[in-house]
Amino acid sequence: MIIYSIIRNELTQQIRDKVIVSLGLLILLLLTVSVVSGINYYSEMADQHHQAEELARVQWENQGAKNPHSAAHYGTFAFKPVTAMSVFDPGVDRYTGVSIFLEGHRQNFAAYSLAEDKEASRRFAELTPAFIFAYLFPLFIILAGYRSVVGEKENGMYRYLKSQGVSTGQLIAGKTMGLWAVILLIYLPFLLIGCLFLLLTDSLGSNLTGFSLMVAVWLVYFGVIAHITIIVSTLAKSSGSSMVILLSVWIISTLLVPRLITNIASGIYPVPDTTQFYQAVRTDLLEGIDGHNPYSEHSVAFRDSVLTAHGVDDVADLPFNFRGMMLQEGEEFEKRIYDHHFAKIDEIHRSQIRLFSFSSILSPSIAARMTSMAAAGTDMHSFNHFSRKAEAYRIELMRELNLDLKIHAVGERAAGYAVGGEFFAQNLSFTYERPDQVFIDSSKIPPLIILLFWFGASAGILSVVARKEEVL
Amino acid sequence: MMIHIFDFEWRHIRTSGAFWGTAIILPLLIGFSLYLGSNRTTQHVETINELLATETAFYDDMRSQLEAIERGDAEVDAWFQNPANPLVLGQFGEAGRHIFLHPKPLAPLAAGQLDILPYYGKVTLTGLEPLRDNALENPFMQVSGSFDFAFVLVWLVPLFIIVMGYNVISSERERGTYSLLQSQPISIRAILFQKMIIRFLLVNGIIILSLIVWSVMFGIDLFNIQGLQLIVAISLYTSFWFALCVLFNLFQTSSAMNAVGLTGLWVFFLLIIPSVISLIVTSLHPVPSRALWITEQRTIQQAVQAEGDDLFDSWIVEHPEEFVEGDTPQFYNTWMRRFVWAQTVAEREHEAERQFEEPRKRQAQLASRLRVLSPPMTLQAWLERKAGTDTERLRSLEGEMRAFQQEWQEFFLPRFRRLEFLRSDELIHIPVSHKN
Amino acid sequence: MLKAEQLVKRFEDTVAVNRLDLEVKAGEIYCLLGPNGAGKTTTVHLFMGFLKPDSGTVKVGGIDVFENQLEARRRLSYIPEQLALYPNLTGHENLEFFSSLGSDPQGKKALELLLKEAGLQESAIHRKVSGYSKGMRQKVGIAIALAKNSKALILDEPTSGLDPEASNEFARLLTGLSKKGVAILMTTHDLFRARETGTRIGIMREGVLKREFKAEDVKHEELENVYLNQMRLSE
Repeated sequence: MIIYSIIRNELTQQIRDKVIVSLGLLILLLLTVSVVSGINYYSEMADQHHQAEELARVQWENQGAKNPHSAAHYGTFAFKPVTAMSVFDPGVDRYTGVSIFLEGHRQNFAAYSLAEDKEASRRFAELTPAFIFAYLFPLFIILAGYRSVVGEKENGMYRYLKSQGVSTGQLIAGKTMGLWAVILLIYLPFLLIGCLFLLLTDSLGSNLTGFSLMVAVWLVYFGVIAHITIIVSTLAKSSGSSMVILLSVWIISTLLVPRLITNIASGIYPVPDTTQFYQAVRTDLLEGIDGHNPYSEHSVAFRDSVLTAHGVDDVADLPFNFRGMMLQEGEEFEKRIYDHHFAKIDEIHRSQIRLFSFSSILSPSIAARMTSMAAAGTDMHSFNHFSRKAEAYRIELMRELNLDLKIHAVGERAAGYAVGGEFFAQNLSFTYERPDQVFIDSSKIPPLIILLFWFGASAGILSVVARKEEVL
Repeated sequence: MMIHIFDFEWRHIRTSGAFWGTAIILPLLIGFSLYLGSNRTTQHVETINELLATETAFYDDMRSQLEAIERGDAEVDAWFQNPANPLVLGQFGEAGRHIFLHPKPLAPLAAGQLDILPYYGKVTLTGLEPLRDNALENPFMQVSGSFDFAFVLVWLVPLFIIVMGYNVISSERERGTYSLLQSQPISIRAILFQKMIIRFLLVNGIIILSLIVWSVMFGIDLFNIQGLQLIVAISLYTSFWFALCVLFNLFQTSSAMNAVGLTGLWVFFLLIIPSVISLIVTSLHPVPSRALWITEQRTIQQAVQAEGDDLFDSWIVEHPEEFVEGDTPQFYNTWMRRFVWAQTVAEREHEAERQFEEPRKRQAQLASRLRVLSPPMTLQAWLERKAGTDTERLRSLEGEMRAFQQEWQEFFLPRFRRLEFLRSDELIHIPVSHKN
Repeated sequence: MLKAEQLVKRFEDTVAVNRLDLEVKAGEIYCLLGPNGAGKTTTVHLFMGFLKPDSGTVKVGGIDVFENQLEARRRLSYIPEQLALYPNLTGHENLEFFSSLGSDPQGKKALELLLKEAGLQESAIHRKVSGYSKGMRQKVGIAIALAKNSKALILDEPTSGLDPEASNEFARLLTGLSKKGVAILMTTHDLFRARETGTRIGIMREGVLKREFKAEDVKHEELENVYLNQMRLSE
């Protein structure tokens, strides 16, 4: 009952505080603007990608009559999906390429990131819900709570309340819940806006898990900030020092540690530069079959082994097109080399991200941001999932082309063999579906665990502080 | 009297944690940022030198081969290995020139858009390829941004200033010394200004001193007009934040409210304004998705391919004396066609690029106008410009490459069209980018 | 030396000081008595120029406090009820700082002498103020006034919170100052101290100076009666 009165009193005071109310409304306004502008952006982008996807397929099918291997060189594109969830948390979305060129003999990087075309002020801050939650919301919580206990001490209410039979534990519990109530007062309208957006873009069903998870993650994060705020407010000597300590915590957690750690991480785990990378790939490629050069040592050895196996002396006497076979053999070899080198880069990226996610021990905001990105499907893991699917498609398409060449370009048809639109129309097409379990990946677990740890630890310390203050 | 206030203020300041925090942490942050910056720049210079060295080695090799052939000491195996062939010298394999945007003296101070946009590229007769030596960089790292001097100055220094200056007068009021001060024959404003001036001098001293010391250590050249401009810019920026502190201390507000208000302004200038500007700019002038561009490029290429022979024929009609008729090598006919097609594709693509170029330009213009609302954004833009890592300069790479390609083509194409091979003594006339 | 003429100060709908005429001559100690809310502190603040009067004038040695603030403050010293000094500086350093704000800095020895003259124990002079009692802090305040060589001293409740012995010592200091020709205006609740130390006494109520006496003309009991009468009237 006492706690209930304290909560109610706290809430009434906050609602009457003009600064708090206007800040709360400002945050709600920014959230609404960010989601509404996100709707436009999302539908436009989704539209354009859809168009591009269709056009790319049309272009593939209408590339004209040619040798299947020429078609392999002609290649096609895989387009990164535009997800509704990226409106809430764009994660790395702006920085990864929008499309991968799929061609024979080589794997390409995703090209053309949105960041290249965007104006540089975006690098200060981009108005998205995730940005507001990670940066502005904690400030709001700090502002609403930095005085909560120390303020009562300063104006003498603390002793008075105690004389009324209120224990410190009750006071702190009441203040904490009051702060939670204020947080929810702003957070719940956002949930409505968010659900409305997903409904409007017809993507609520497919994103329900992700959205709920994201919503929960941010709420846990706000809880951590609220607990820290009350702890500092209880222990601080004056409301001034409470404010300064909390602001320092905010700056270190949201600003300093993330930048510092990413830059340290890329120093500890450096990625090779592009020239070095391709040099290494080229060196390894020389060690195997070159589908284009029938005179290379490896190609000759392969040809001889095939001839021996079929008991003939000339490739022309083989029951299939040898070039088709050799191209496929080369393709598979090249894929192994590329896979090997890409895996190395991937491992470096993983190490960097691992270091970064462990640094969330120093910064709850890193933990929250990483988990939120994962929930939104805009983190590196989701992007890599897309790239792997695109690569899997590429190798299947190449196999189809080479197999056609191998089987059909035989005998008289071998010279000037060509396939037309009918064949290309039958080729596999690429549609990327993001699976739900993208999130469930071992590399995602640490930030989530660390975030929960922050929550538990901050709540624990809060209760210890409450008990300790009681003795005084 | 001013000296006296300084003296006493110093006695206060030297016992304050805020000051020692600033005096220790700020130089370390600046040092780390400059360390990263000088590493980045050194790496760029190395890349540039390596590429220039391979270029030189290639053309030296070509010349000695050609000399050997001219002396009769060697023979040409195939046309595509003939070092006298303009295609071999201007188009194939390692042939071609790299165009660089060389790091400016202040490049280590601001990474700018270097993590996104390339600073060099390769030009051949038909090729125009901006290269990124950091294409393998983790996109995740780009999200947080670089820890460069610009970041320390633009983002963190104001916070140190706020910590040093938020309670200069309000703390006197809270401590109770205010009324005694007020009863002295000097105005509170004068005291406030002098207290702020000493803090201003201290903070600037810390920044500039550590900037100079670290720069000397990491070999960054600041002893020039640019360095002077930088120091002026730093002073202006810190003055802005100190002025805000003065303003807050003039009002009869509590220290806590000052801290809240000043941090609020910091958030406003560094987070709210930029995010709103970026929202306005991108919604007023949206740049279409590059996904469309990719398919469009393909459409152009297919169209040119379809028009193939017609294009070439009409080119010959227009340039009759630039085509050698008759019994010419196969590669001549192939490549004559290819050059015409490549030219057409390049022109049409350049035209199509406008749908990105135009809104991008308008975005940049609008943003640079709105930027004045936020001194931090203005300073950031200025630093990037001085460092030569701003979008505009990095975007200029393509133009420079195009210009050089013109020069390159003017050297090789007429010779190729006349089927004229080069002599070894002509190789020294192969165009070199003036900037290198 | 200190002179207020027809002084009026309003705070929203209450009149804190109403048509006050008050003069303190050189060498006088004027004690302003009155209940809480009578307008004593407002009067002090008006004399110091911290507040702007709605009408009337305040002059120090003929100089208008409001029109020529800095000049007036050169002649004035002020000791607030809670005299706060910089806790992390010594008494000597505080004196050095505050005295240097107004006038030419004085030598270390001279300042030490002033502190001694103000009655501060020698051992405390170079200790940090954070360990000082209220009495010691006020002595530093007196020393600041001495250093400025001010013609007038204004004190707000100087003896509240002092033990009787310290209070006595303080009164002696004030008397010493007045003998040197300093005009002293102090507010107090302490009728006894006012009659002992003051040369003149004024009783204020609801912003109006109700009665004035010469200290030598009234006995303690009479003063107490008059004061209590005034209080009763206000109820």
